[in-house]
Amino acid sequence: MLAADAARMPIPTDVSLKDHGRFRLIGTPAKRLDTPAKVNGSAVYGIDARPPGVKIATLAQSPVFGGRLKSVNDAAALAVKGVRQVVRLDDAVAVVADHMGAAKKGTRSAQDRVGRRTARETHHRGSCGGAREGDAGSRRGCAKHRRRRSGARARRAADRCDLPDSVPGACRHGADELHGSCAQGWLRNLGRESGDRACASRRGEDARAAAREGRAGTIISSAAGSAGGWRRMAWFARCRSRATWTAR
Amino acid sequence: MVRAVQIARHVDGPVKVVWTREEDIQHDMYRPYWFDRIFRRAR
Repeated sequence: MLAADAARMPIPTDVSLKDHGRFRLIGTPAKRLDTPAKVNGSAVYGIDARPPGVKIATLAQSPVFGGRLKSVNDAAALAVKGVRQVVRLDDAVAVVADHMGAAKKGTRSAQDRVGRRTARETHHRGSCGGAREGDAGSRRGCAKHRRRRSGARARRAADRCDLPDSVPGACRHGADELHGSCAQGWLRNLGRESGDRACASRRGEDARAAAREGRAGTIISSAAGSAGGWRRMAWFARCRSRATWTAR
Repeated sequence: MVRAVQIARHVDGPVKVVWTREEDIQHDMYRPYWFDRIFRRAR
């Protein structure tokens, strides 16, 4: 896809910037044109548009990054009333139907044969190369599985999982692995950012205390104070306590 | 959008691809909780 292709392009060394005098948009108010329509309710959103004869499709992607579609139960999906077509893509399956309800039901049915594996199961059996022999993927394995197999290799793998600050999810491991070493990399960045390695829950405490005392200026993230934010922090803290990784 | 195009290429006639919430968040991470404390001094 576009981002993947773009990532393969060479990094330009000499980037010439546009001359300030030639700016057309920067420095202008650039007001949104859709605000009035959205405010008064006359705007039609994509999900509300119903052109004549349009079919509704919904999809199920591989539960892990890099997974491929292995099999689909077409018959079960097509047996659902309203389902018209099953579309197979490399790493996803889509079900086209008369309406969303049928499409959802069909997508579920289409996956029945592969047992609706959870991301974790698929990870172990599939992209991580746990079960499938001869698969290119079976050579690699994720950091977690390497750790199980070999301590030294695992530690190197964990080391490599050093994520850039701005893209915490950009690890090559499967989605499941985000619960492990990627979350660690993320945590590590959290600590490094402020020059200490206080753990995630500690940071949460700090923010909470700040919020109690009304030091609003210390909290910039809009997630501050939201229950989801606290839960997420607790989740990170759990991840950290469970995993081993090398800090620099 | 990419998915919509991929799917539509296999379908005869107009098709609207609607993501379920479950599928939409499957590969995403929620933004981590974050705060910065900044000390500055001007002379």
